[in-house]
Formats: sequence, structure tokens, C-alpha cells
Amino acid sequence: MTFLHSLPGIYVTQAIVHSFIALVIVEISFFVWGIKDHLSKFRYRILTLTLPAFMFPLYQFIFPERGTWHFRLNTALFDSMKWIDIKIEGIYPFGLIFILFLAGVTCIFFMQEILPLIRNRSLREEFSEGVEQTEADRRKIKEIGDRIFAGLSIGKPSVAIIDEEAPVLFTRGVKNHTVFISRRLLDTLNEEQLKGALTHEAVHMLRGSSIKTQGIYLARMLMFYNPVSLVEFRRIVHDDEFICDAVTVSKTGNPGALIEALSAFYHKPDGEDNSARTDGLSGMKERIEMHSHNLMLDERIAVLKEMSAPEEKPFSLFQFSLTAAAILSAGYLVV
Amino acid sequence: MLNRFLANSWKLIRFLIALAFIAALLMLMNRLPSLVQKHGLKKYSSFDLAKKELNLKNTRLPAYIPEHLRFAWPPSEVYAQDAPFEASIMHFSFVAKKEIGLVVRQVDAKAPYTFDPVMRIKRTKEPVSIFVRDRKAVLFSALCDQDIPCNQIEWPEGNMNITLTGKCPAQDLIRIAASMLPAD
Repeated sequence: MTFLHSLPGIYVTQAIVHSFIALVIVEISFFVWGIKDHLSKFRYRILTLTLPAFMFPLYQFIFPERGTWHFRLNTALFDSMKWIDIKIEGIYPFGLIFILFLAGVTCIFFMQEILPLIRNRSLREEFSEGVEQTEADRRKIKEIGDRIFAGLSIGKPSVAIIDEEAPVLFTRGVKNHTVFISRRLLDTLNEEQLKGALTHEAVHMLRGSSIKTQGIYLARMLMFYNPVSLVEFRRIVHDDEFICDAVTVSKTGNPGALIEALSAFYHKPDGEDNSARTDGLSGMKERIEMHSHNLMLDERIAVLKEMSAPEEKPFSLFQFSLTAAAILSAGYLVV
Repeated sequence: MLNRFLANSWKLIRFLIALAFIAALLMLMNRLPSLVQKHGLKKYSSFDLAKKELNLKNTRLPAYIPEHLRFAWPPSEVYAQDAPFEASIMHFSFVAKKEIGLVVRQVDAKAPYTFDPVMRIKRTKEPVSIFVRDRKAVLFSALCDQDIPCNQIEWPEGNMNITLTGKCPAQDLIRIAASMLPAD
């Protein structure tokens, strides 16, 4: 229990409690202000992910008395230590449960974020080494690429084809981008679908998704023990996909082609693209990931299908500031 | 225009109501631990009341406070607990002033953490070893809130660690420390 009463322990505890409060306030904001567009949601969710990481040190610096037992007892709305200090039959049940919970979330973080990162890095390095392009590929890519990237204020990226049976499409680089596309996608998608898929990647470059994702990932790393940031990180990344889908359709004017292109990315449990093991614990993890990937595609396609009459609301800085102020004020009174 | 203003005002009111609900929920959740662990840290109107409610078997009281220091008796604030461990904090204010002049803090020696005094202390000199009755103690001079000179004495007494922090000369604080007697 000593750890939870040390400065790092208090920071961890408060960061988690502040994250939960920020999550609730942001969800209330979505409901009350009628926020439905993913760009606004993306901005609000950044608050949930980032503010709790800095609130405790900020308060300690500006209001040192906030850290005292006197403040906890007389001013705070909620004192987390009251729960942690509950002692029954010589043990601290809530403190122990909380420590086990932290350990569990940390394990999930390593399994979900760090291991795939290592795996994907070697996979992507393998991709970048194994590039093969025929003359026909080059011509196809050049024709489509010229049309897509010429209209956007970004440098024309290089396009690399990879010999991969699974449907793969991703962009690397922050300033100089490279779009990697698997041969299977190139062979199965028609010109309009390919245009939709590549425009989506171009929009990612235009929005600086790479650098944004890295910044968001850093915040996620800082809060590796925090279950809220685990969920919110995923939601922010998904929001970015929805935003890019919407911009893609506004540029191509063809949601149908993007829907068809997205349909090519479904993981089929018994399909030929399924190289994953489906037995045992590892198989279960793969199946869950596959299911989650497919659900995400379902949602994106559903949103694209309803995109005919989008209800665009201007982003209100007043509402956003009020939400941020509410999170900061509540966090001050929650220790 | 008016309709839009009314709609936005209603949204704002709903947002504020939701925040008030969150605040109420947090306050409720803050009270729940005291139902499970009734003797957690709490403010008492007097030491007698704390003594009556809690099992403060090791807590002591100062029997002598020099009159010229102008500390009011009884203590202006008393905080105490006997779970998860025994601890008490007494604040003595100056007569006719709300300012705290003396803090008496007693915490179980085996406690996993302690309670920092409300007065912020900056040590100015190296600590000196002294004796409070026959107990070895540590005395150090410091600057408390608003850079007012103060002194602090710490020593172990039975199962407890006692700390006295006072905006008074060291000799007076040693006398107060020497007068600390079991509360029974």
C-alpha cells in the first residue's frame, strides 16, 4: 500500500480517476451538444487521452496544498485514498484489487500495443525489402496516382507493391510518404475502388495522420496502466479513419467505390487470406482481433452508406472549452 | 435567432445539470468508505468526542502550554482516526486569530504513510538531537507559512511517532513536548 501513497502511486491513481471523469464528461458533451461528427469527437477524445496525464503535476505545481490530507478531507469532492485505505481483517482489499487491476491493464498494454508493434515492424521491414513491380503495375499506379495526388497539396508519394496474399494497404513516413499496397488488392480492386482506397491514404497524408497517431500513441504509452486511455486510443484512431473516409468521399464523390474497396479488407475466418492460427489462446486472440476488425469495417461501411445527406455542424470552440474546463475543475476536486 | 439562443441555453443548462449530477455522485461515493470503515480520518469538534468515538489508546495531550505564546485552548481543529491505523492531528490557533500556531501530530509508528502538517515548513538549520524527558528527539528550526520562524520536534513515544510544529521559540516547544501525557 506504500506505493499508492507515494507520489508516483498518487499520480497513477489520480490519472485513472481523472480519465474516468473526463470520459464521462466527454460522453455527456456528445449527448448534450448533439455531437455526431467524427472530427469533433476526435478532438474531444484527445482531451480524455491527454488531460489526465498532465493534470496531477499541473495541480501540484500551481496548488501544492491540493496534495495535503487537509484538502482531501475538507475540500475534495472525492478522495480515492479513502477507498484504498479500507482495511478489513488486516488487509487492504480495495488497494490490492486496484494494484492487480493496474498489473492486468499493463499486461494488456504490452500484449495489445507493444508486441504487435515489434511484430509489425519486422513485417513492414520485410515488406519494404520485398517490393516487386511489373511494367503494367507501374503504369496502373502512375495513372491513378497522378490523378489522385495531383489535386492535393502534398508531395506525390512513392507507391510500393508487396507480394502479399492478404489485403494490405498502409502509408509510411511523415514527410516523404510511401504507400504500400498488396498485389492482391491491386488485382482485385477495379480502377474506381482503387482510386477510393488510394485517396483515403492520400487524405491520411494530408491530415498528417502519421505524426498525429505517433503523438497520440505517446500519450497512450505514458498512460500504459490506464484502461480509459486503452479504449480511447482505439476510438481516436477509429475516428481518424471515419474522418478520412468522409474527406475521401467529398473528393471522389463516389462512396460506393470506397465501400467496395473497404469490403475487400474483411478477414474471413475460413478464407484463403487467413494465415492466422485459430486454435488455443493465441487463436482466440486472433479471432477476437479479426472480429473487431470486421466490426470496424461494418461500422465504416454503414456510415458511408448514410453519407448521402451529412448533417454538418460547425465545431463550437465555446462548447469544447466548456468541456475542457469542466474536466479540469472536476479533476481539481477529485484527489 | 431567439429560438437558437433558447436552444443553446437549454443545452448549457442540461450540461450544467449533468455536471451537478456527477458532483453529487462523487460526493456520495466519497461517503461510502466511511460506512465500511467507520473510524477513518474525520474532523471532530473536540478531542473528548474523538476519544469517545475512537479507540485512541496511545494518543497524548499537551498538559502545559506557556500562556505567553497566546495559543487558544481547546484545539481549534481535531482530526483523528483509529483505522487503518491510529492517528490524530490537533491544530491550536492563536487567541483572537484564526492563524494556526501549533500543530500536534501523532501517528502510529508502523503506519505506511504519515500526514504532512498543514503549515508548510522550510528547514533552515541542521536538525539537533535533544531529549524530551528520557526519549531521544530531533529538533529543527524552520520557516513556516509566510516565512514566520518556527520549530519542529519529532520523537517516538511507545507505538506512536509524535511531531510538534509551533510558531514559537524552541525552548517553549520543548516544554510543551515534555508535558505530553496520555489522554486518559
